[in-house]
Amino acid sequence: MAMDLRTSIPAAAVLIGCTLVVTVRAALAPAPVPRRPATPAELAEVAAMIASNERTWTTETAQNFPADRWSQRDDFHGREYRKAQEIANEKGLRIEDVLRAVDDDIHRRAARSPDDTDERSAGAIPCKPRPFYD
Amino acid sequence: MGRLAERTAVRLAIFALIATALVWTLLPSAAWLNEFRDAQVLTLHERAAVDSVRRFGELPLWDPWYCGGIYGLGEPQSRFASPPFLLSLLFGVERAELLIVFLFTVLGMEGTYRWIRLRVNDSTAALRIAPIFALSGHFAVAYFRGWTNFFGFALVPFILYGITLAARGRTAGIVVGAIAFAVMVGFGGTFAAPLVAVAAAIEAARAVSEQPPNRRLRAIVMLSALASFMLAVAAVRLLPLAETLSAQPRIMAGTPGHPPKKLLWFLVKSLATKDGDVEDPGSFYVGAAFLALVALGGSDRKSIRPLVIVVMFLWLAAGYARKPALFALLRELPVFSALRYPERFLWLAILYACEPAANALAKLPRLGDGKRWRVGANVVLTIAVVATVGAQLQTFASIGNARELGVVAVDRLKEFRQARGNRWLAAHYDGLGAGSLSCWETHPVTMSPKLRGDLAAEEYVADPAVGKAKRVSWSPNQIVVHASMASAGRLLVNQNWHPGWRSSVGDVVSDEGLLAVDLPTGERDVTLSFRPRSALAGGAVTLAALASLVLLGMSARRGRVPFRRGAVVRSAALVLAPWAVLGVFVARWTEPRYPPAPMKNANGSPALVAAPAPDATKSGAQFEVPIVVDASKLTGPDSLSNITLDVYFRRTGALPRTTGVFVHVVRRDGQEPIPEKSDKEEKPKDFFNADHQVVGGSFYLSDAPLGYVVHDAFGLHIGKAARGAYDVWLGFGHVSGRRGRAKVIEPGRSDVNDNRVRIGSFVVR
Repeated sequence: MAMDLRTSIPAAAVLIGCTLVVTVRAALAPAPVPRRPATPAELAEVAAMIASNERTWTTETAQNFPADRWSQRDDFHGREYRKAQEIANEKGLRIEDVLRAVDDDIHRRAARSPDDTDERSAGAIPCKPRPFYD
Repeated sequence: MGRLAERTAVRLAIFALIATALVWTLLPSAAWLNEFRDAQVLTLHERAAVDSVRRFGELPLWDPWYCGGIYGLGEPQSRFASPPFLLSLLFGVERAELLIVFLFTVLGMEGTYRWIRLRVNDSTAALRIAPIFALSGHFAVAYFRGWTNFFGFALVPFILYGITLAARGRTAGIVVGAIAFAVMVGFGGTFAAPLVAVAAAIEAARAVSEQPPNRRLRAIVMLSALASFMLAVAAVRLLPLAETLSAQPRIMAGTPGHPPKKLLWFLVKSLATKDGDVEDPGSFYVGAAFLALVALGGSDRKSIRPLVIVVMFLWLAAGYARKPALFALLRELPVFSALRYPERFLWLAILYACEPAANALAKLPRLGDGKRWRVGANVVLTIAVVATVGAQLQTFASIGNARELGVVAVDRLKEFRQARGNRWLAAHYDGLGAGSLSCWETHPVTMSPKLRGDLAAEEYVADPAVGKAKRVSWSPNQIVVHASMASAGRLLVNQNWHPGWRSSVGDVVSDEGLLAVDLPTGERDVTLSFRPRSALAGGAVTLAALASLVLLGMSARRGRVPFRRGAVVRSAALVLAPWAVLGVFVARWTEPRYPPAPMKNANGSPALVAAPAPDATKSGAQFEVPIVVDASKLTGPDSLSNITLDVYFRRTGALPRTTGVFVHVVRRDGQEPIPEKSDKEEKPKDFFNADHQVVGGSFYLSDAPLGYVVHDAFGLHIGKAARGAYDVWLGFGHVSGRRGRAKVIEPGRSDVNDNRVRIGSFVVR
């Protein structure tokens, strides 16, 4: 029994200590500071930059994935993602502001029903992952 | 030393130290978001669950923030239906990730130790080898890519431990195995589950075979009870998952495979990153020293069985590269048909290889005479293990620190709305407070084509002349709308329909997959609530199973062994009680079934039709395999240099799963030669192919329903084609193409060439 306590108590202390140290360090790790918010002028500029690329992206993705609507749209969003990151990095903006600018711009010409025209690819293309990616 | 290793507190202390070393260099960045594309989606699932609980005080059943609204509990990649979710709730999703890594790493090592000790007498050997599996390279890959749910795989040793204990007549085995399995499945272990099923079947067979003949029946009964409890305790997750995946089955094609050398590189090469992702070599890193230990352990007779199992898992991991392909056979089974990565069986190979490696550690020092040999051998072997563990820790740290990190700036919209979204940045939409209609999942998600990311209002009356709607309150599981209807009409909500939605007034309906309520005339508040039966039934079954497990455990502590004479009825009642609860729910089930999504081609056209399009060219060609091509149509090339093909055919008999469609676009012979280009310029192409195994974008050729006309629509970009006339040829055969094509036995109206029929021609000018 004495042997048990001589080993078990220090071992339990190590276990609890490790758990506490990891927990405290994770909980108190410095929170990253987001970049600065965009000004209204920057929001408008960002929205225009993304919108001006969309027609090209639509054409290129139709060539990359002919007759595959979900893959086309996913490729479109891949390009949008890279452009959004590029803009955010260049201007030192939060990525959320770039996304907000695009979304506000799309909502500016708000649709009243699902059948309205969809010039900004705002309609849903149901997720249909490709059967293989080899 | 052996006594120390046998003390749980000592082992856990050692494992905690190793796990601390594993996460130590990553802790300063614990609050950052992993920006990897998969991590975006998986983080969003977890953030959605946390938001539901913290901000709205609701259970995370419906996730409106992704894909236009999905059933969170039935989403294969969500991980909140397990205890580690408490960490996400307490510390936030990002900070909780390293705590989860720490926790599961400790559990993985302890589970491996306990499981190995069932068959290896030397506790220090088991202790030394225990960290290898939980630190293997794929956990580093999982952390890099944000596949936090893959850490549930660290519980596999506990599942196998439970199986062997149960086969040996121990009730604790049932408790441990069932809970470990439920936690793993609840923690998004839907990818691990099929692999675990294979390992569990093998472990069960092995454990039964180790029992004396007169105890085998009892072992089988105990294992059956364990299997029942595994399913019942995990029911809260399994029932919603089954509902989702039966309506939206995951389809995987291709013939993935890895030659032996590549499998070896998976295990021994250093893991590295390239172009923002991890490379294949080293992605299951255990190091050469570990493999040497396994080989040394092979000299021990006790290692034969685990080594046979290791070889079997290596065979599975080789996929289609090793003929005959065991992986291909496994894929013939219903659930396993969706397996995509054969190399993941290396995880199980590593786990089972730990046993011969432990045998080597236990036996080699005893082979020679004298203390000096024993001490020397022990030191050398221990150094080999410590060096391996050190390399694994270093790999995890370097890969973890190579992640691209970011931050979600939370600045939410006042009112939730759907956005066009972007799944590559999905986690950031949580910061916006908007839903992302851009959707990527591992299965086809049933989404309404009527969803919009640009609506003026998220809740609206279909016919504005009939009435008006205004949102009163909104939360993930409950939406209240004030509706004023001059006459009966339809209220639409810009989210996907699911049979779990209820309304306080009128009837909930699916309007082309959109959530809708048919309302009577009048002015009132309409409350829409999400209360899926599968979650209620699953939760009740899980609670009943946990209660039964507690009672079973208490009986065992009082010395009552389950299924012994006199305890059979009581034990059976406890096993069956959760299923009786399920039976009550099924008997009272009024919710409509979640219907399978209509089968569609990738271009959105229906995959099953009554007859070929009237403008398609009739064929009537019959092949050696039971397929008749009725007609085909070629459109293009269009202004983007795309051609579209519509092929109409019928399956008239049984086909192997590995049957594929060959589509070859070939420049016709006898035309002017293709002009040579300079080195820098790419030579124009005269051949394209569009081979595929999944037809109509929805099912394997072998699963095409008999008696239906399959409409297989697909496209091809021929921008690099040389000028001239081209023919498009269609054939059938084994998907690998190695076994030749099926013969054309009746050409019908089609031209035939090399067992292919011509389905169209076009000219590139």
